Amino acid sequence: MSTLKEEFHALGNWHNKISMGSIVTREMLADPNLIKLPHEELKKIIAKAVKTMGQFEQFISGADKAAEKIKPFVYEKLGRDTEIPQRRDIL
Amino acid sequence: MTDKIGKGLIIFILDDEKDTCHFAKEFFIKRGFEVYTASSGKAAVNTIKKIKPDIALLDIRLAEKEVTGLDVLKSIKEKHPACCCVMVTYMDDEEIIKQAMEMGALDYLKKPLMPLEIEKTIKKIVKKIRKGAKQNG
Repeated sequence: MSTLKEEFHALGNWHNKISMGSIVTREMLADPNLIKLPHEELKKIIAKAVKTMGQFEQFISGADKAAEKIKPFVYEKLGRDTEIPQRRDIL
Repeated sequence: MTDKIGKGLIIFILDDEKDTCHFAKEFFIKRGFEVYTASSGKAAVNTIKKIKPDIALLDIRLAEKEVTGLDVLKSIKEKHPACCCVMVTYMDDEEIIKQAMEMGALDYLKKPLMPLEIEKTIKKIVKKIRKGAKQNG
């Protein structure tokens, strides 16, 4: 079984991919010279952006799975509905 | 339009996530850097034998435990003492950051990497490198 630290690490890695990927994609599409490119070149860039968008779906799903794995660690300590520390932690 | 602040400079990136390496590579190429990446500590040690990086962006926590980000930092500082090393880490790594700074790291960045922070840190380092080069003639 993985540790909480490892799960946070995994979650951070997914976030990092989304963060870095979005910067690169935004810059690629925001380039003012883009519209001056030949049609074929432009098509390649758009295809690359679409591919990265597809990767984002995987990254988001990965981050979601990592967050799911963190939940039991949290709810073991904190009441799921009350958000109050569990009794055994107070004693 | 992005400034080519890294023109003439070599940056080395170590991250065990290949996608992150890929995006980081594009990010720095866009800024004029010559970019090399590695996705394991072992590969990093091999790569830095062949190149002379001006800046290294090193992920501290790697999936492979045999050669860590700190080992790579040590190796870079031995081979290329002038290389400016920036550690990339998570929120709960204060002790390791302290250790890295004592080993010669210049700065650190926390994940997830945000554009403004990377830009700010890298610009500061590039300025320091260019100033050093100017002083050395």
